[in-house]
Amino acid sequence: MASLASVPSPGSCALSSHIKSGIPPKSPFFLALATPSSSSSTTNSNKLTRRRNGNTRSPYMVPPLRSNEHNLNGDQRKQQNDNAQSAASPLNVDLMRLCEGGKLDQVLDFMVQGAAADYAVFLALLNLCENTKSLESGKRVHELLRRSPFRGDMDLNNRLMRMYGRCGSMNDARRVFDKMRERDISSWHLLIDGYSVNGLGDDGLLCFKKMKQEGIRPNGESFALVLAACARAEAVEEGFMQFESMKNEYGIVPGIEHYLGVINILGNAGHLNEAKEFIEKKPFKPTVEVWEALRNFARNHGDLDLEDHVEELLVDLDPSKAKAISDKLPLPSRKRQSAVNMLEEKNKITEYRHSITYREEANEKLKGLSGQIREAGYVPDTRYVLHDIDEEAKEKALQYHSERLAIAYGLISTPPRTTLRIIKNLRICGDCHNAIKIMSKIVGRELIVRDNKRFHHFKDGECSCGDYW
Amino acid sequence: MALSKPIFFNLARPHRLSYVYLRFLSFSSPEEAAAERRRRKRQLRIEPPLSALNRSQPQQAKPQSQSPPYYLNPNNPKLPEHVSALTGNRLNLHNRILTLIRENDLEEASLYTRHSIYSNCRPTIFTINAVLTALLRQSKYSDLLSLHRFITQAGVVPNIITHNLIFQTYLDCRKPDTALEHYKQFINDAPMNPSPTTYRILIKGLVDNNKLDRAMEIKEEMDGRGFAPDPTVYHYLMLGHARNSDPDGVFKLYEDLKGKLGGVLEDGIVYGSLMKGYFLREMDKEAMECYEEAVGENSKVKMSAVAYNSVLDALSKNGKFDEALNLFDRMTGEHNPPRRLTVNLGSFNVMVDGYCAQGRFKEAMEVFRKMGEYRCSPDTLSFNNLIEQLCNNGMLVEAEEVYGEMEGKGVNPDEYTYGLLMDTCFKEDRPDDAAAYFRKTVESGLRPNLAVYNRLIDGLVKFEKIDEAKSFFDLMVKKLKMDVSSYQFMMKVLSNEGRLDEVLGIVDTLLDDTGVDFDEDFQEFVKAELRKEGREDELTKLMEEKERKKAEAKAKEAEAAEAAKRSARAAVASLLPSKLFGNKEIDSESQPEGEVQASKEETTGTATESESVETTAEAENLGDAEDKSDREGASVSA
Repeated sequence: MASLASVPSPGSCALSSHIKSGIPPKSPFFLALATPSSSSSTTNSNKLTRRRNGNTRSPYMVPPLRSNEHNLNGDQRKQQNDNAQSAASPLNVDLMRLCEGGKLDQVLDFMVQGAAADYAVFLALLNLCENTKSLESGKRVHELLRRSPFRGDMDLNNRLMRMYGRCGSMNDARRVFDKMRERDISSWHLLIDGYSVNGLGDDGLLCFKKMKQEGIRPNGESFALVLAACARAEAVEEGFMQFESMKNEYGIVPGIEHYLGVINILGNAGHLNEAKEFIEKKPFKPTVEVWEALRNFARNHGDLDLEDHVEELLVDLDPSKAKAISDKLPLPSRKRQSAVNMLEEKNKITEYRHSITYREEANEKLKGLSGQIREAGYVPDTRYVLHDIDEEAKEKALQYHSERLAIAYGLISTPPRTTLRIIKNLRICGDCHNAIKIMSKIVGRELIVRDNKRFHHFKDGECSCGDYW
Repeated sequence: MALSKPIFFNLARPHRLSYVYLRFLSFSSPEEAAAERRRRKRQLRIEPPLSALNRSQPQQAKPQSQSPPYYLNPNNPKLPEHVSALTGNRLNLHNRILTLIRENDLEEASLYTRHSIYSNCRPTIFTINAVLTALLRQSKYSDLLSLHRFITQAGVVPNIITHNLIFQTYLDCRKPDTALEHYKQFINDAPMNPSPTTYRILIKGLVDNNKLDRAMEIKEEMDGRGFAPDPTVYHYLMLGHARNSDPDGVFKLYEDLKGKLGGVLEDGIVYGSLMKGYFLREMDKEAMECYEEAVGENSKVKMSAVAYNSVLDALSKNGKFDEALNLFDRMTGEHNPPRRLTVNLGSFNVMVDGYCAQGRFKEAMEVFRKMGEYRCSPDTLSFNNLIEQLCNNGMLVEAEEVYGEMEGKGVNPDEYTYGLLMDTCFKEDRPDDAAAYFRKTVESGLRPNLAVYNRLIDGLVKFEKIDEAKSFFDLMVKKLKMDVSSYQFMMKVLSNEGRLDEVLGIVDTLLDDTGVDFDEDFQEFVKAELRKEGREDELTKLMEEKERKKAEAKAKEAEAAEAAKRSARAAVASLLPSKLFGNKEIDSESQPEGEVQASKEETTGTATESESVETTAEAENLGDAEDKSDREGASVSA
């Protein structure tokens, strides 16, 4: 009910507040039901409405990226007042309120029917699209925006880019960016950020290069974003250079976010030792966040020694963390600490150990531990292919027997170690029987296959039918 | 091995080494670095062979821009996963595996990882790395390599950590050539650059494997690739030179490093090996000056535990044990975990060595036992070291006492521990205990080699314990690949005792052993032994008998194979509808997989029967997977 709310008369304020308190904002057609009802909580909502109306600052002044304040263009408001007086039904809707209720599709429908939206509504719409990550609606908003008087507005366009970035469509974001007549540094920032959030760190870096070429001087924030893009692209060398050039060329003193950015790069690329050394050689004392970041990377990359060490340091800095860690299992001790062992030539086990596996063990290994089924002793039995084709094609044909496809499908769609049941209306072929036996061992599941003769329970490389086939 | 690609050469610029110690400074601009990174990624784009393209689309000259994007082709080699892949179920799996690792149930951890490969929740490379790291920590090399092989075959793309682990594994189990082979492949093919840690691992491993030359080559390559000089790498190399008694090499490396760092050396790690260099030249004064520089009152040098250990080692090995004791006191005083770590297991190992060299064994054992106070836990190597020192100085009782402590500390003895104790027991005339140690080795799943076995048999025979020797022979003949001399030794012993039947028994097993050639000389040897009692023809008889049996077995096998073939053929033939060959075209249309069909279903001759296959999975969640109840969940039809 944007039109109604925008009339700056006290009466309409009261009306809208009544509506608000009487009818839950969820109900779609509250306008039709609008009846004044007595309510005790009018003051609160009154204030709300008044604040919205009282804001008569000129547009483009408020940085919309940072706030959700709703501004109204003077002309726009007048036009809406006219609309309100004409009281045509789709045009009379309080779009703003619908937006607040999250009725994205409805607002769009109304707008297509001709309801005029103001700046605030567009902002709210883009916000909604961003939060719900619905690209479809986002595109509709874009379309409507293009036809609206705000199409050239830089902030709205920036906002549009951000929406596209959050919805995962960097192509659209780029298109918006390319069409923008004027851009500020935050447009560039949004583009770089969008690329790195969507996993296209490389493009983000190219974009940063172009930004510098266009003569825009990067600031601290730009470098934080660039470092994030490097982290995404796992570009260690480049990240270090950007970090250096930030200090040397642009004279920006690196803040904690930049150091964290470098640690992120190293951590993402799996250079854990280097990350730890980088932290130790930093000019200031590492904070809790720094250690936490390293701890998480150590855990992700499976370096539990480092994780435990960093955790100790964390507790040392902030004893309140001790409780969360205390129930953790201690790591079993290392068998041989070759990295720290300082003694020379004491590693004589090989001299004493039989270097090849014992014979009986070797046989076992060949059967059990080797990787794919061929290595486990599977040889395709092409006698079961009756077509007159060459050997290679026969082997290929065997691989696509329906029971194998069914098992493959079952494997990728179920959690590990659950039983699979396959039902087939033809008899299973001997080659598949062999293959499934070996498969059951490798994938560690019981595979139950019923053909038109009997049930076969495959488990641990054996079949219940005793290879009767 | 000309590995270094002469694309980006070192533009050594020490002036840019600011307070933050930096690597990767060979590129002149970020753009250049990006170009190199993209180049490595682009290497992945292998073009399909031309013939494959031409066959399907003859003469269809597509413009270059029309070719589908690289990532759309599932057959292309891939980049390793990014950390952001570790979310949702895959993160749960990761945490679950980490818990298993902490519980030290590595078998289950690696098995579960394998099984998850074929499920709806594929483990990330990070999970696999965690398991590999844990396996490496426990020195389970063969399990590690087999898991690595498994995931490679399953198409999981390794990342830099995986590669580092593989290098480390091969170097730890003394296969430096294989490690270098892998490194070469990695440099040529992998879509990523090596990390400084890669070089640390390689260079340390090569030095430890006595391949100093190769280590120096790798270091050259590291410089060529534009890595900033790493004092740790220099430390390993200098130590290698010191070990080879080559002080010139040590000094040269030191000068090189100092030059590259612009004359300021903050990292104390190289001082110990530098001192060793001076001691080798018998320049004790210079060595002690160097010591002063590193750990003196106003020294700005940062000393880590490894740096201290190396200095400590240099002192105690070169007759400055009093200084070493002082330094050790200082180190334990400075030790303040977790912030400052100045003592580690290596420090204690050095001290134990030092005390033992002074003949102060009681104090050596004391300092060894004090380790726990500094939160260091001894490993098998340090136990072996102390036991060896005690054994070599005739203190078997003390050595066994230390050996007894191993279990309490959760450290497992290895082949070396048992070998030491066995040898010493023989020296001290306790053959029964020696035999018991050997038996324990085998029983605890370790693998003593032929040399250890030979020493055991030799010792037992010397104490005239022939029966025991024979029983060990029987135990080991199934496991070890015995050579001719160990067979002959046993036979000789037995025939001297007049137990010729047993000699013949050995010949019997010998003939089954394909590893040893029972040649003329060997036969002559056995005959000579048998001749003593005039039973030489029994050998020929035995051999003939064996020959016959082998032939019989072979014939039987062949027959069985033939029978199996025949039955299979019969089975196929009985199933094979005679018509099938007639209307092959129809069949191949409707049955692309060439299904063997039951003939009764073929009566209509249309060959268009539909085939239905159903996959039913128990739709239980992960946690209930152990619950083997026969609940049926959603059924999926394929």
